[in-house]
Amino acid sequence: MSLVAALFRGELERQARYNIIAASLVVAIVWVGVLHFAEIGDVTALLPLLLMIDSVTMPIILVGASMFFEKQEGSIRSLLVSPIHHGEYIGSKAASTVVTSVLTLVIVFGYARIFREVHLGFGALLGAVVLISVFHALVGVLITYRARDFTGMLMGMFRYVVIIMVPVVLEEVGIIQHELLRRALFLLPTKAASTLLTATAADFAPWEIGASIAYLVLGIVALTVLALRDFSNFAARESGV
Amino acid sequence: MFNVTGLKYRYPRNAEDTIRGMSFEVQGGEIFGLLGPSGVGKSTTQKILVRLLQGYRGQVTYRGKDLRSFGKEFYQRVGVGFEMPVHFSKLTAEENLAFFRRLYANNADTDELLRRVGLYEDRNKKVNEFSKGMKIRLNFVRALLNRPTFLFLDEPTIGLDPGNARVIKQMIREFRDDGGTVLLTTHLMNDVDELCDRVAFMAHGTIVETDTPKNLKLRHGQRQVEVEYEEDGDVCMQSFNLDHLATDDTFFDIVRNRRIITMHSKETTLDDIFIKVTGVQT
Repeated sequence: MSLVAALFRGELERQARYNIIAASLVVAIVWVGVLHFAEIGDVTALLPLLLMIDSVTMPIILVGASMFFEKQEGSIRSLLVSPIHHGEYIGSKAASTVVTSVLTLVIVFGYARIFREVHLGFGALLGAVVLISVFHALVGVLITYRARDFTGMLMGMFRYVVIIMVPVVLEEVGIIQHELLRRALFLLPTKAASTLLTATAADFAPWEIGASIAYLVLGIVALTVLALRDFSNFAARESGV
Repeated sequence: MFNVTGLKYRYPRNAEDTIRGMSFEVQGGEIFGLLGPSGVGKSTTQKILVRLLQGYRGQVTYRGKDLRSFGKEFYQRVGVGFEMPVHFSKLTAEENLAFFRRLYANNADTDELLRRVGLYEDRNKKVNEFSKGMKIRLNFVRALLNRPTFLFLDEPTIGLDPGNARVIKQMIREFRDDGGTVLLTTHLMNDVDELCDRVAFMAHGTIVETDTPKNLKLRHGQRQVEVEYEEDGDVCMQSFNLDHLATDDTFFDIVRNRRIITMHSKETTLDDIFIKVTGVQT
């Protein structure tokens, strides 16, 4: 078994044992509840919004929770003196987070297909959710590096949500309509996320979809570089030898 | 194994170096004690040697190669035993060890190690149900699970009852006798006395004394005997040089004609040497 596979398997085992997957399922059920009680027959417009909120916030929380458990228990020290590369450690965190995001997608999309009307392609949604989740798992890693405690991490995530995600949600529900503001939103990764999630149903130009994918992919590359660069400081601080 | 020359390190936000020009060598097959008061730089030195701190000055070589040139393969045959708990508390001891075993090319027989440290029967208990002593013993097993040739041990017996501490010390000696090398950090001078082939005392970010425990005791010892006795209703005390005791008439006069209260030879302990060379005030 390769090291990445061993780390990934360990992450999933711990997510199950620390009830992180259970918490993620509860959130998925909340989204199903929203779809159920919204009393909308066609959820094509609502579903991408819910998936965007989920795949932006949950990876940050899940990665933060996982890393804080490791800090709190000291198991991070044991990992730091194991023969694993920093990239493998960060990659396994991001990959395991994607699993929970995909699980949520399957549950919510499955409900929508069975009990509601939805005109979105699952394959495109899957690709979008994977990209958005990986991007925000890396955001979660960077927030966790800088947070002193779990509350600090939650505050970091709250700031990110308010500044980066809420404006896009407000545009989606029609509250932000000013053209200049709408154009400014294209600077945000959440706008790229929203564009990709609605791409199979909405009338987007191919360049908009291409730009959104490029934004997230380049963002993942940049965030990975930052996460690897700052890992040494994080390791030195948490090692406590 | 490790050769450290002119090592200096300054933490990014500090105005002064924490490590101020340390030089020492850890030879293969020995237990080397790195000792000193809290805050003197022992942990920083260990962090550098286990490659957790970069940006140091000076030269550190491991097996003749610059430490900076190693990648993650460095940890394949190095074990690190921490003083603090380092396990996933909601996993069992066995699950913890199974996870870490998968990260290494070489694996020890962890069942046998668990038996030796008395944890085999508890291997399916979650670590958060373990006592402090059990967690320390599990840390020790974790350090050995990749069959290391070099062991870093930080306070390996702190918090253990004498019986378990004896088992751990015996296993450390066996590791050394099988060709392994150990860098030991501890405040328990009794452990140092029992285990270490050589020790280095640190003070003010540098090494102030390196030698075998026996040589240190000889060098710092007072070859004296101190006699407490009664004379005219008072308690008196006198010290005599052990080397001239056989011809010291005063000593024999006291022994023959006074009531002796106590008589002690003044051998130096490692505790005394620690206090003396590191400048720790008691």
